[in-house]
Amino acid sequence: MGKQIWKKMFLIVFIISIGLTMSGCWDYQEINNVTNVAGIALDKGEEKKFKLTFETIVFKPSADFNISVKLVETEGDTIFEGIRNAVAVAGKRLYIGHCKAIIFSEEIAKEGIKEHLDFFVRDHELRMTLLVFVAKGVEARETLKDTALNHQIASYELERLVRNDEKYSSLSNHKLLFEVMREILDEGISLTLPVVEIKQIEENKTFTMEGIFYFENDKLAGFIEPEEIKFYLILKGKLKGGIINVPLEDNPNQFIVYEIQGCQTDFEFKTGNNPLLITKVSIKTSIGSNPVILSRQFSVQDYQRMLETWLNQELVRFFAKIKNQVKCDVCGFEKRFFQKYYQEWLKLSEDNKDFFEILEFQVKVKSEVNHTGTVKP
Amino acid sequence: MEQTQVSSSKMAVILAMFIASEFMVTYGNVNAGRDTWFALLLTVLGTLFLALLYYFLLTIIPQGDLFIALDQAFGKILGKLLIILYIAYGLIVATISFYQFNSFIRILSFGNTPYLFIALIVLTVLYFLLRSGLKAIIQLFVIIFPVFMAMLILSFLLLYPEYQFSNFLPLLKTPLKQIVKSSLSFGVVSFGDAILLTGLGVIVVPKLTYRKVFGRGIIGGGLMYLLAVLMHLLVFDAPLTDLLVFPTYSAIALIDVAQFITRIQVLLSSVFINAVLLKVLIGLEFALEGLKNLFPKGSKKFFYVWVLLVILGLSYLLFPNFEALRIFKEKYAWFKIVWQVGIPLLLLIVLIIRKVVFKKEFTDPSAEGKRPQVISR
Repeated sequence: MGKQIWKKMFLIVFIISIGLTMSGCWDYQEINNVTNVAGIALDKGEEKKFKLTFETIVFKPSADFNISVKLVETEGDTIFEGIRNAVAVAGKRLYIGHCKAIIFSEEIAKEGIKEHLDFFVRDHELRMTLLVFVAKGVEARETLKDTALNHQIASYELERLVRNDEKYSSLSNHKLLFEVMREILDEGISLTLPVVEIKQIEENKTFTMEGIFYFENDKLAGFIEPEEIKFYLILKGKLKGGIINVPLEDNPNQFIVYEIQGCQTDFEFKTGNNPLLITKVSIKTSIGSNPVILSRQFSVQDYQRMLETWLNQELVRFFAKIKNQVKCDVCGFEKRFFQKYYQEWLKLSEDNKDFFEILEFQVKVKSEVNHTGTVKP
Repeated sequence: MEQTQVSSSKMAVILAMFIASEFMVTYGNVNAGRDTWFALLLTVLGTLFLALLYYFLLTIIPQGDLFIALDQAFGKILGKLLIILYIAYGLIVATISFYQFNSFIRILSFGNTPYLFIALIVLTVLYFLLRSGLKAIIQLFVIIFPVFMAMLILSFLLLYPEYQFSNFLPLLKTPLKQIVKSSLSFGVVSFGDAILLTGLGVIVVPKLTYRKVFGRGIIGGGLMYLLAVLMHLLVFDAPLTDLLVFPTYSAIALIDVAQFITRIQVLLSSVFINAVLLKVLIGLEFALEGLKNLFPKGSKKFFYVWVLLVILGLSYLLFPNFEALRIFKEKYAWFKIVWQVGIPLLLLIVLIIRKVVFKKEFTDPSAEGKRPQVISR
């Protein structure tokens, strides 16, 4: 290829890069002219519809990484108005591109959250990886107020908590914004959102993420206890980690602790008058602790059998609870049925039968104890 | 000066990138939901048949392209009228992509920068690219292509943790009418524009190699498009994908590999958006070739400025806002069928009748100074 072409190509690339990088002068923002928002809490307003609390990060001039966190509160009839009104308080435009979490108050969630999520999906600055929570028992703003224990920024600590909960405790089920939207838009599954609660630890208060709220038609309808989240996650096929306490058969006050190392759930339907869901759970664990350590009365097979029996009972009980008390298909059984047995699902819809009401349930648990730690069984 | 050779494989690369250019933005009236991928496959198949029509058009006149064929088949008045119609078509295709390119940058990055300023910067780039000549443009985009492909495949792989393969189900349950309509929409918005390659002022000889150009280009472009469509479906599911204006951008914004490879959507989209620029250039080159046929003695520089000003004006006239573009692509893009299928089919019939029935020999276009540049494969 001739020199001329290379020259031209260099010129073209140069012009493109100049064109694309220099044309942003209208949008140019100095870091000290914007306020970074780490998290947003939404409560009902006193004068206007919403009270918005922004956890903002202020960068201080320093050789080291020096930041301080301030809460900025505004009110607005819409979320967008609230964000823009914050200029009057903060003196700067709020930049929400680094926002990690949105926390709705219980009151707002009871009225429905779909319309409020629209802004967060529509705005190009925000990312769809934003975490969505609902505050339980307190105003949403309280969850951002001096609640961070290890980190200065509560929203960032909340994000870290989410990542670790999934691996180590499974007391809740986090949701990213796009997952929330997906659940709202999809048929055959009810939305659930994780709960943020305030806990007092000696003189400090902090937040915990335990349990989930479930929604009916995007309106908060009830709460599922943290102890039951593992069953919920198993029935959603999402359990990744955490521990399971199985009471001893002869002494229910003592527990064998299993550490979950992996879990797979397969769903199979049998169609008939009433659809039957056969759930096959395959769980891998290790023994975390055993109160009767010195007796050495259990073999690995015993450990497996005990876990299987207990988990079987609990899953049947949990299914009955969500079917009869919760009355919302939080695990998305109907979606699975719709995906695999579309014609049958169509027939049930035509017959005006409520799928979840007539669904029957069976579970088969298979457990595997990989090891018993540094102690023999 | 030594002529740069353009091979049929390079032309195929250009066609593939040209076809795939639409996947960054909303792609017309596509509402086949979970079966969008199938509608796309139908389009690829249909376009391969359509390409046969273009192939016959190119081969029927040994040294001619679309404009020469129009001229020779329909005579001076009707032929010129059709050439004018095709110039308008090339300019409209270029305008749509030009507006898409500018709007993409504006909506996602430079919200406060006036449209005119971005448009003028892009026009400057386009002017220099046009002045460099088609071969330099082809060479440039052939260099960009591997990066484009690598980034697309990388995005597809990095999003794997977010995939829900059940989003495919229920398989092929979308009403056939919707699938066919979506397939046609893919065709008119993107694939059918392959006709622009028949009037670029360069012809690949031997013309038999056009089979490879169209075959590889359409299948390659279709596969790239398919990767993007699958990415949207697997990550967002059909209902949420349907809500998004820039589904590919929104999907790649979710990439998060251990919090290390994250927030790379700007980098990736700046590579993908190059394909839209290519489409603008191909549309303009096509229109310029038409102009050269109408005014063989006209000034090249004048034509460059004229076409660029026309697309700037048209972009204001046709698209007062981005919503107008979306509606245009969804509701009015069907008119393109006349240019993509109607006129070419009529042209082929007329050419065959003239050649077979009237035994008319076609004149050598070089005699009138209209002969397209011949390039070997």
